[in-house]
Amino acid sequence: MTEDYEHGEECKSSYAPILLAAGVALFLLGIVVFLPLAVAGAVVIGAALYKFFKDGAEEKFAELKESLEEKWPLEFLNKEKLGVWVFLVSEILIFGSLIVAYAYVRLSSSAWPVATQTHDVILGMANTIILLTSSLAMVLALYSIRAGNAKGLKIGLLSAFALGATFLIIKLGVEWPMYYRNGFTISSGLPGSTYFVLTGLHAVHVGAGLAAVGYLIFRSFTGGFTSTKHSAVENIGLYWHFVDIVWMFLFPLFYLI
Amino acid sequence: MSQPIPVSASDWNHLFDLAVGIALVAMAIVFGAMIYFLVKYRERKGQRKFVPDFRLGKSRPRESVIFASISIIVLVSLVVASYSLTPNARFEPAGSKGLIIDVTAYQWGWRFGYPNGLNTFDNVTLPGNTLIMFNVTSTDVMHNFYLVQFRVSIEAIPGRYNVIWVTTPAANGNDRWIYNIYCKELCGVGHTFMDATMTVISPSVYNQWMANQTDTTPSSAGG
Amino acid sequence: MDGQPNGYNPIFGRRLKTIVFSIKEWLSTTNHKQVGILYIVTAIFFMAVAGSFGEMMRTQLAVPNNNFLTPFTYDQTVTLHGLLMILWVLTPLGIGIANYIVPLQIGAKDLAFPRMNALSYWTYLFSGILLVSSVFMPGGGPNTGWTLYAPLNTIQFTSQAGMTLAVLALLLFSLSVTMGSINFLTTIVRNRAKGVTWKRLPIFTWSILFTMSLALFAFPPLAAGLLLLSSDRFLGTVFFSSTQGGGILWDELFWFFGHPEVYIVVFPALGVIAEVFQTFAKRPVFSRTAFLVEFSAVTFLSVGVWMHHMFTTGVNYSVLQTFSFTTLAISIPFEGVVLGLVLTLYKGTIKLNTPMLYCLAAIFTVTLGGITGVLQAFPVLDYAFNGTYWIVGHFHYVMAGTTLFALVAGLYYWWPKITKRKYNEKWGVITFIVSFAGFNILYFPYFFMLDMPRRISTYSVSSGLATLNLTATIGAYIFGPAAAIAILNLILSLRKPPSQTSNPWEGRELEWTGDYSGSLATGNPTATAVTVAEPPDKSRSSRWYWCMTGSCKPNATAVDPTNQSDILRNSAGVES
Repeated sequence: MTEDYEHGEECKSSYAPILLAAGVALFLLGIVVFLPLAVAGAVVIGAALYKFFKDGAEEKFAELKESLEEKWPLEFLNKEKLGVWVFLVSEILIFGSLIVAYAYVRLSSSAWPVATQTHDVILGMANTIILLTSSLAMVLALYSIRAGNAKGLKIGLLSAFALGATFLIIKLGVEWPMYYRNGFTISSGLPGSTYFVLTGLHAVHVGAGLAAVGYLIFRSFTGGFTSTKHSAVENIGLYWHFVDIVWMFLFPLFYLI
Repeated sequence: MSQPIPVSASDWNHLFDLAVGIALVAMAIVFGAMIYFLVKYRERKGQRKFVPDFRLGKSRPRESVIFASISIIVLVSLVVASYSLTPNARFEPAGSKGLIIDVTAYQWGWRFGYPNGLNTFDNVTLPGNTLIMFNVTSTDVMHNFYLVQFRVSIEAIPGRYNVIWVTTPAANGNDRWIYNIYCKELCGVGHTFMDATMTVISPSVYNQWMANQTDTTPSSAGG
Repeated sequence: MDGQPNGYNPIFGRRLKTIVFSIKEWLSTTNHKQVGILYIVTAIFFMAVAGSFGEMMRTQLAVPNNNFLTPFTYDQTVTLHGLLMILWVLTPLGIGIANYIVPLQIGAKDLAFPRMNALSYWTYLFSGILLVSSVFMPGGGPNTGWTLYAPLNTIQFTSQAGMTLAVLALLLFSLSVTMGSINFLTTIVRNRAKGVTWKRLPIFTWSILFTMSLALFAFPPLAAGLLLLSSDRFLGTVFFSSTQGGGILWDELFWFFGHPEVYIVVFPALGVIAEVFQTFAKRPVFSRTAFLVEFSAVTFLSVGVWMHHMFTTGVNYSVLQTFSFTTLAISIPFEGVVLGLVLTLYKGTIKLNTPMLYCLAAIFTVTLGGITGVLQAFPVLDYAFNGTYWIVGHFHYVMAGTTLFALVAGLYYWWPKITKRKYNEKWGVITFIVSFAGFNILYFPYFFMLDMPRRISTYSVSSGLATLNLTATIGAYIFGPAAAIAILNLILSLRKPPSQTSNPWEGRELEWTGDYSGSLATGNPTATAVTVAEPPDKSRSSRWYWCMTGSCKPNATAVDPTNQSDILRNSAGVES
């Protein structure tokens, strides 16, 4: 009874995890103590992400197709997709907690400005439409590659990326500076605190999504996806739709009430 | 000490004793069973016993239901006892609200405000056999107002007023009962040294003492 | 492997010099066994640090009016002791054992996402380094207690950079655990070998499933609270400085995490106790289905009890009544789990060795600690308990007692599996007795210290607390060193050459009996690590039953369960 399998062949090693962890720790230490450390940390994070993406592109950690596993009750979900769904549960909980915190402070405060006093509903609406359209683009990209249409995949991915970037540009380049000029800032009180923290965290998630879509674009241009092998498109698409859905909650909660 | 135990504490002790009694019975059953099994079923030399004639790994719905029912009955009895045996310091009394004392916690001490505007620090003098309403808040961080011998506490939270009621024990003549007040919530480096005292004297002595006070600074604790 | 060459290391099946001494390999590993060992070693390191902090605290409190530690140093010590022990020692020790054992118990090659597993570990390590280094920052480290209550946690009242660093370290740690939970949940759902059905899942793996489900739910709210706190400290937001409920907001977010967290800490321990009792009483757990139903009931209910930590905050009393009710409700299935473990000894064939002794001690402490918890479920009683040493006694009984004893038992139990060596049994028993005695001398007096608030750095002579405190300190001086020697016993066993017996305890679960040899050589089309024989009678829900009759060996013949000689013939071949 031994289990002396040659782990060198099966479990491939990688320096990406320790690099990413060290980079993040260095970054956090830097923002507290000494900013150049944070810059160094960001560089290490970039190197680690590059390694992760490279591993992905070389399919170093791809799973064997055939497997004799117990699958009930989730036979229809492959391993990566299940992982993405579980991850989304944790994201729902973190955004949910923050939204509950927002509701708590708003309901227990005596004077809270109505949305029209502090927010530009038109810009918010425009951003909502832009994000929804980018989700649509991701769906079209997925359907294209399922049908073997690599060109459609590229167009869809590029559109999703462009629309997502537009969302961020409007938010960070137009909307927020306008609020700051009007005195509605992150430190101007609870209404500002809640708005900027929640939409800020959402913007960070949009940014991370853009990085992931960028990875997909790179791989689509190097021929990494076929009509049968494109699970990354679907899984990252899932994440992108989730980010969109979070905005569907944030928009009415901040811009309409 | 011949100092009397406040009513809230003796009620608390009754409930506590009842709960501990039940707990000891439960522990005796669990530990008794465990020790009995360890002795009776210990491995003896040369024994390799398997028990295929035993319903291994099968559910035992009947036993589970019995066990759950007993537990529920025990717990419900405790809950009922806790409500009937112990008046709760947070329940607003019908009728008079009692003598209202504003308690303000701060880093690191206590300010007590009397209805007439008098303020005392780190000590509150109260008449015996009187219902007292403590209106508790804080000016900085969270503290916890613990009336040790009363077995009652409530947190002092900035921006919030928490109210509790206690009845002081009877004091006659020259009786002077001293009770401790501690802070139970870590509130900075002075947390350890935030002790206060409650002095309980007879109502007539109290009225005299109150009349002698010259400090009439209005209490700024609100309320 | 057959024809073992010189320098062959049976732990990893490779030459010694290329495994154990290869730093590069350890830095880049994604193998669940190596990551598990890294977790365990790191957790023991942080336990030494946090344990020393505990000894320092007890030294300060040994006599009245002591000045061994200043109040500020004492407050930092108590904060670090709590944070390290709960989050950086007990949780990762369970995760480390799970990393090693769970894939073996379900017949998987590795966890579902091996690189993310390594990332979880390194994030955990670096977050711990950040936390400990916060103490060396100018201005000192966090001094608010591990609960980091608001508004004390804001820049206004705790301005030192070390506090901010600690908050970020905690945030990084919650990311580590969240990644771990995604990994384990996906693994247990999808990476089970054929034959390892849900009904036949070992109890320890079930306990990890419950633990990781709770972790998925509990850590995001903590991360949310820490994000809000970080933005308060960096960006000038006012979430926790606000007098509009800022203090209570932190309480709600923190305890919504905090209560499930204590179950995350204790569930792996309960799983270990079940495994150890099954092996050393030679029988399966009592009433397995009911046991698992009760275990899952505790899991579900644990997200609905958090406000029992807030009974003295002055929130609406009907809310407190609701949570008192849910807390009492959860005690019923929890009692059921503990009783199920005790009844596992019924009609068994019990061997009292070191892992068994530690698990029995864990049952003792969980009963005592759990029952004091039931008393705390009554708000009226909790007015006096909350914030005093009664609570400190309660949680040390369930955490330092149950969890630590049971996880140490797990280390002792699986030591021959992980290292192929046997620790010294005599010293195991001796250190157990001494540490159990020291533990009780240390913590039992706390239940008589209702008059002593928590986190005070000293007390006066007139408080009458001197005798109890001195007793507790003596207990600490016994418990700490004994615990250290217990770990030393394990480490020293590595000097011996590895033994050839891979299943000295006659364990029945798949990590002991699974045939993992050679199944992963290149060219094998299956993605799982082991072939699990199907039992002759598919209606049997417990792997234990047919494994005890010897059928779990891949080439075992079918047996008649009522034929004793059949059973002895087949079971003789189960251990190697």
